[in-house]
Amino acid sequence: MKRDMIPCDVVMRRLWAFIDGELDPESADQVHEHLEMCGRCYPRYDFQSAYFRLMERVGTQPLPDELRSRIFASLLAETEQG
Amino acid sequence: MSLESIVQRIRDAFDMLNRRDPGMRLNEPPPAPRPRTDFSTAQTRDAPELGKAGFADEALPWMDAVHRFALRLTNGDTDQAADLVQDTFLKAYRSWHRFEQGTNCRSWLFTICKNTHLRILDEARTRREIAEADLEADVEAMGVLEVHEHAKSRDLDAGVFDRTLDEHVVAAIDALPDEYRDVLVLSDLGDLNYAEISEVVGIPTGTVKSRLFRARRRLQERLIDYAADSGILKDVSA
Repeated sequence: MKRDMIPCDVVMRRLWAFIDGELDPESADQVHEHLEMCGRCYPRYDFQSAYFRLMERVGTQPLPDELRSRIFASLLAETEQG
Repeated sequence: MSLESIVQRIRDAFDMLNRRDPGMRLNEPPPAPRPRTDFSTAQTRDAPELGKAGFADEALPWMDAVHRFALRLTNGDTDQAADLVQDTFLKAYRSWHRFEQGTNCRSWLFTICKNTHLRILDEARTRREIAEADLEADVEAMGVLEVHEHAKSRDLDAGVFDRTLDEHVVAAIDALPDEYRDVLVLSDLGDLNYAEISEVVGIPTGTVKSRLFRARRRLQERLIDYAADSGILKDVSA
């Protein structure tokens, strides 16, 4: 039996989490199914995909030094605690 | 009702009172059917055999006083007050070795009760803050729709990102407020998931999401405006 599709606004609310791989499998399936069928939502997904391609390209740049230091400090603190 | 039957009822009542707890002595609790460690129902009179010497005599007599105090702390919420009294006596029992014999046990119990209540309030506030952050993230998630509408209003499509210059993206990220920039860099450039970012930045995952989604919206709108204003797409595609 075919499930009812989730509405567009629910898909929009979940789209970033879907792309980030943060949805539970069932919710991710629902979004996936909707995007395949919906002519309004797919272009929005396509638009975000282009943004993430850009970020992947830029991501080869080093992190800002200050942020890198903070991450190291937090990892160090975790190690000392544990 | 006849006078005779009233007198009989009074006699019965006296008999009943006289029969109650015939074996009870002041310093000798009656045998309990089974040992209980449920402090919420324990009374000094039928206190369980406690392994920690002195606790039953010193601490348990203050249960009523602590309960009255707990009721004031919880604005008369009987359920909350009951939980609070139970927690207080459980903690007191666990840390009985820290109680200095001969000092004021009632004050010691009140201090535990007050601190326990403050901790419960803190936990409730944290839960509320997390719920609010999740709600906010849900609203911010709609940015996905709004940036797309914004791009369309400026006659741009997904190609805008394929043709954006890397150095302009870096400048636009640097221009974000610190709290947005950090989560965006960690997520979109650093590939950390929400839980990992939460740990690194020290904020709940709901806040990670709301900041990240807002940061993406701001960044994308800035890039769209830049592309539209500078005519860069026309130059590249020409």
